[in-house]
Amino acid sequence: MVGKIGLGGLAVMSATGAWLVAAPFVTRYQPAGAPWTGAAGMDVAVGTIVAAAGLAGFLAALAGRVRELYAERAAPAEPEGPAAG
Amino acid sequence: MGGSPRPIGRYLSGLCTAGLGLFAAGWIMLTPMAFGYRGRGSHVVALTNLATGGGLAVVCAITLIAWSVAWRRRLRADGLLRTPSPGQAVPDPQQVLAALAALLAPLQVPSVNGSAPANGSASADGSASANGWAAARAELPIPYGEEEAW
Repeated sequence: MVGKIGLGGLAVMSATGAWLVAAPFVTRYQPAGAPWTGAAGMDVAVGTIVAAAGLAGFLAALAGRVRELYAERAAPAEPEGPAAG
Repeated sequence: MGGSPRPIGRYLSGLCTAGLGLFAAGWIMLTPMAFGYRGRGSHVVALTNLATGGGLAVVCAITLIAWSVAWRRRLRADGLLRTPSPGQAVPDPQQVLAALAALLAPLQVPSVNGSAPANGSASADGSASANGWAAARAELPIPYGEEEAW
């Protein structure tokens, strides 16, 4: 349960970064075709970093969990190897 | 590939990402004040950044706590962190006294009048050792009644 909350938090963090990238255009404080303002550039830059970090953390945590599942599945099979052979 | 049986990279990546998100949330909340955005739509910029940064800070704090709890549970399950058990702290005083008496019995404590029993007679039937132990116990400042009440 706690691991799922952690994974969900990382996914929400990635989505928040995506929202930060889109926010200047959704809320219209960066009109299309106009020169970029400092606020819009900052939000897009920080949003890109947050989205990329959140996605990387989510995938790394998920990969670690999958590796644990493989290890737990393989661990009981080890003592049976020498006994069978 | 199969080096450590319990990889900790999962917990570390979760903790580091959540920490980075906390820093980013603080930065997003501070930028409207730090850079002093002016002009058209500055109010919207400040409101958007404050709301997004606040939400991101809450989410990252919860994520940080969740990964910390998950890592501690894993360490406890692996036996690297000790689990406190409340009933194991105080041992039974009667058992402690019995074990102490058994340990001190061969030392042949001298009697009250200072005359230690001879080694040969003491080891013959053990009565001298028992008498010495009873005399030394009588010299203790704790009477038997209080000792029984432990």
